[in-house]
Amino acid sequence: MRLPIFFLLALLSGTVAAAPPVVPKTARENADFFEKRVRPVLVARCFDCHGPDTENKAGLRLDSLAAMVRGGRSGPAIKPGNPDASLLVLAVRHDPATPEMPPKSKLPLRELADLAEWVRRGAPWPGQQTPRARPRPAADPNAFPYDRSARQHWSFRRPTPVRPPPVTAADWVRSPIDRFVLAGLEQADLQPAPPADRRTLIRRATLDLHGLPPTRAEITAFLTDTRPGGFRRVLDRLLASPRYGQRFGRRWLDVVRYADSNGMDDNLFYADAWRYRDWVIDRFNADWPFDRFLIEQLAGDLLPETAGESSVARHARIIATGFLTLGPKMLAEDDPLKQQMDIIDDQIETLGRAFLGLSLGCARCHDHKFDPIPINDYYALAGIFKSTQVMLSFRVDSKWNARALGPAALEQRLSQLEGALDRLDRILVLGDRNEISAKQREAYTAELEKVRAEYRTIPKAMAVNDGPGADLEIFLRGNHLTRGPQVPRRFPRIIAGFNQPPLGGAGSGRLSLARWMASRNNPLTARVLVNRVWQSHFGHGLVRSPDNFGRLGERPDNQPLLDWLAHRFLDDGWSIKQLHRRIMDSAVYRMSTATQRRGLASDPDNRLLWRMNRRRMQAEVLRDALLALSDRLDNTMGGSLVDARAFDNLSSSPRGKIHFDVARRSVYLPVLRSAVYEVFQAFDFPDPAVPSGRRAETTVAPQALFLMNGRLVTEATRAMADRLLDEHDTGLRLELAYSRILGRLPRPDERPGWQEFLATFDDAAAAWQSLCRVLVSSNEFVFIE
Amino acid sequence: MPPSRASRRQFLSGLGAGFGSLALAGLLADESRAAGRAGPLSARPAPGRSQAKRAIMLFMFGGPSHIDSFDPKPRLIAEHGRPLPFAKPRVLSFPLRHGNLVGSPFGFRRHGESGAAISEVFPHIATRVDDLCIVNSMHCSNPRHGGAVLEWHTGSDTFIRPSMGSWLAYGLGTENNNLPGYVTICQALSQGGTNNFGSAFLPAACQGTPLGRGGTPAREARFPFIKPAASREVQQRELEMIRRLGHSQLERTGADRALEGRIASFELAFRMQAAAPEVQQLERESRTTQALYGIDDKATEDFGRQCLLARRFSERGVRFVQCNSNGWDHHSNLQSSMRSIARSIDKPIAGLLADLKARGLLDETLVIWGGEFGRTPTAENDNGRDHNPHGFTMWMAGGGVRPGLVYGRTDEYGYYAVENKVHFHDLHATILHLMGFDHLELTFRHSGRDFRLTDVHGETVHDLVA
Repeated sequence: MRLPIFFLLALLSGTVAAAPPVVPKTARENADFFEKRVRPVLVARCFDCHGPDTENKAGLRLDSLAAMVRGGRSGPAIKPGNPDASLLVLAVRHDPATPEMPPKSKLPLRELADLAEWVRRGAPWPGQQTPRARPRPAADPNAFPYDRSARQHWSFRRPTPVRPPPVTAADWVRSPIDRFVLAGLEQADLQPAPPADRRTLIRRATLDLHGLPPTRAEITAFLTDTRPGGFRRVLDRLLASPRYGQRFGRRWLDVVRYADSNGMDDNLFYADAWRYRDWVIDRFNADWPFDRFLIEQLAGDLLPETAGESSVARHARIIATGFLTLGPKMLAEDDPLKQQMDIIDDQIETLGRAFLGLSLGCARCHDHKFDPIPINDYYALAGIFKSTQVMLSFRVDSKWNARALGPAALEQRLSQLEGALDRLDRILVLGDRNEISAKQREAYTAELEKVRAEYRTIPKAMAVNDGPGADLEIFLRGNHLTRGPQVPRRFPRIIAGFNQPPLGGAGSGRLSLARWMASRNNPLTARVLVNRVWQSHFGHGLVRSPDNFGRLGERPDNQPLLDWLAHRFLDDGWSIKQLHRRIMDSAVYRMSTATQRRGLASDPDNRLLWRMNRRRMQAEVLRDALLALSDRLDNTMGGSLVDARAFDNLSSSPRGKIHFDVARRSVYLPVLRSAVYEVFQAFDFPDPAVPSGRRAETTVAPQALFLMNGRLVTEATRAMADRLLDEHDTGLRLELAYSRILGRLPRPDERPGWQEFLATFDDAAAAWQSLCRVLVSSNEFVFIE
Repeated sequence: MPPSRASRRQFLSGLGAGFGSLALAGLLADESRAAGRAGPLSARPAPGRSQAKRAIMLFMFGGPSHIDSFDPKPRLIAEHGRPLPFAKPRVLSFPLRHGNLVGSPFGFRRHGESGAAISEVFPHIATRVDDLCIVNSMHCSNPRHGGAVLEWHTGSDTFIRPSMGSWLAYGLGTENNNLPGYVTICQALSQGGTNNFGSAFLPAACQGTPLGRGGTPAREARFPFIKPAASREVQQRELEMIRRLGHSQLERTGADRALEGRIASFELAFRMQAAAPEVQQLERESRTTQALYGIDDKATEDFGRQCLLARRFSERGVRFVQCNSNGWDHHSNLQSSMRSIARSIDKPIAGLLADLKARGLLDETLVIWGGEFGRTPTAENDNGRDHNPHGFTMWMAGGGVRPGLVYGRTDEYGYYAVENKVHFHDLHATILHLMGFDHLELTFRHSGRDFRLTDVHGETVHDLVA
């Protein structure tokens, strides 16, 4: 192989250097060209796999013009007249969008040029007619290649109404939930764990709903409230506090891959993302019905204005669509259509996981291998999002769409500025004009600065605009260069059915999609949400794969309970706060974590819930608790803490612009993709580039190092010690430290050890700081019992 | 003598009255049990035969020009200033900035027994040429830093996937319980950032532990939270109390892996806090060794420190160490910029190879050199070159590769790899092979399917294996 290429190149040096002028060729010349320069190449290079007597890999033969135009599994091999759109030419050029042909080695330059030239001339093949270049429909827009068992999967069927089962130990039951759990335990001959004591219970509930430990006063109030219904009153108090939204809002932000920067290649600052975060927190605090919450995120911009709606309410609906645009974007993708399809994929994948528990993204390249989501259903959805505007354009270094939060005139001004931004970027970044002089460049740059400055002053949200509705073709194998037939926009047929009315109206169809997803008849939406809330209280969901209810997800451990909860949730008008009350006011939630030999032996994973699961504090809870215990937590709500400007690239020096040493609640700290705050990173903060319904709970050395040496811990424990020193009696001081940090008093057998420990220090402040550090490092503090 | 000194001794000897019944003796037994437990990083043999036990990646962030370093192109020089005689790739970032052919401004000479040609910018590496296995036909899928850097580190330019070092830590564990299994020194946070050394869905203990970050001088690089907030004695006493509290809780709760594991993690952190700075005490090396890595010269000091650190981590059993040279994106002023950055890594890398060899470590240490792509033979901004993922050079040394080999070819101008092409996926498969794994078999089940470093791609290039 080595010699011939050298040889050829040496021969050819002058001849290939200049592109041949386009002059019409006679039939004779064309025939000559084909026989001398093209057919030998096809025979020598291609026929081993795509010839007349071979296996015809990928269903492709190259031994006749008709076969070439008909093509193989990836579509037609050539488009006569257009080499740059011909897979054969792209494949031999080893274009990244196609398989490389021949594999591993590339044809000599002259052969490449000849094949391209032949296609450019219209692929003249002596004795053969050019068939009409009509792509063979390699994919059926209505195919549904799944058998009965795939269609009958439990989660695709609507939950049937269930009644709580009868149980023997009825005196244990506080709520219908308990019957569902107890029935399972009795069948397995297991006992529920004894109830947790009241201190444990209020700590658990407060950490669950607020992400903060209870104060001493709150504990005392609960311990001394001996009237019936004391715990219910605690729940009411916790749910009424804005701290609830800060905690549960953060859980939702995991699911929707929230971040304040783009990540990926150009880690540009999402200067307005925080409005979406604040919107989420507000909605949780307002107990916004979940169906409405869903619809606003997918199509808040398309909801009809209600009579007398305030501008704040209207803006909130627009801010909500940040859900669609907050994802990571490969802004430096050179291929505009690929960039757009990648963004659409992020939207489809996120809405699938977040609301439906389905990995719809799997169907981008092929029919889903396990769940009945064929590729045509994916492109039916993709059509809806292709018709939704997220970006100003899909060029390299393009910018995302924003919506002004103000009167129509402001919205208009923003559009003008966006147009100017796009135009100037095009000139300055891409050099997408003829050469510009240094002086011109200077002028354009000054203009850009001016436009950006005004752009930054406009209050706005990262949000979408609706575009004209249009159906999309199936991209075979996810490749935008190989198109199949068009599919009408519609919803996944396994759930929405096979006789869907066409999506009417001029727009994308997003609002119809949102309404269908949020309907009572959707078998997934309510179950998926109920399961997330259950998981937040027990560590595991009733389905242990919260983002995957498909066939590769886990089966529910207790489907009757899940379905019963889903029904109650709908009956409660999709109220999440009511769902918390139902779950937490049960005997199951009140169990202790005590182990039993029988339970460990027969159900070590605690799927039947014979005890409460012990859970580790999440990153934000640990940080907020440290701040709260040292009396430094700043409870201000909302707003941005990032000292940067829209479009700043945060990857080069995040340290200079982003400050994490503030005392605000963790939910307000900036979330930078590919540069997550190192304390959070150490404690399993999820990757904010992908939706994540369940965090890992690891135990790694950097966590211990943080507690030993982290500045946050050092400062917090110093402040705690300072306050302890106001109390002069050592015994009382120890009690104070225990009750503040662990929520209990030291046991008698613990006191001597501490006295001994304290005696090893010369300096009281250092001694008590050290003691506090031990307590916040202890398992008892970091685990929720 | 302060009154408390005796009490300190007494406290730590465990002679004093402690709460709970578990004293230090019991805890020591516990410690050995913790160490012996099959955690995610406990050392285990690779399933296949392999010479390489550890790997060191020398990552040249930005995309070093192959045609100015390891892949000489006489024809490019001969046709300097003329247009490229064939089609450029379908998609280009900045089509209008692309000019005509530019020959390398650097002279090439053949070196060693292999006779491989190396440019004048690498005089020291040239002396090690017979250790190198040079692959001149590398290619990857993405022309942008973000995508290509991610693809090199994780095998994917689209999704968040575990990094190569994480796969190795996952597959082999660590040989040193006091250090992380995967360390990356001064890695840039741009272009994928922590995802480049993240473990994605693999156990968190497999993720790369950053020692400093891009922009930190190697001299000042530290592991996160490693700087002790209190004296070692105080920390020892705190640790003792954390154990006592933990064990007394365990007596009430009964055995619990999560609780026990967390106590053990404090022990590990405490040991790591001592072990890591020891590795970083480069002054413990002889002057000769320091000079070998160029630490005595300002121009080479920083990367020299990285390379010497890499050797010290590696010989202490860290599976995967990455050194990072940030600044190879030569869109303009290629001649002067490349000369100076090449100088900063040349002697250190040659020193690393010589040192590993002298210590008998080269055979079991796989050294990999390269960036996320190469550069175009055509000019950008008159005197620079643009990104080129279609053909470029990487090399390996030690660890069971075939030394003195020059493998694969780009075309006569150095634009496209044309012969024996090796994609990132293929090199990943080959690296796993050298470390004792079949890339098809090293998998992790996540979200319902088995994932691997090479996803659905990759072929081991057996020609590169000795």
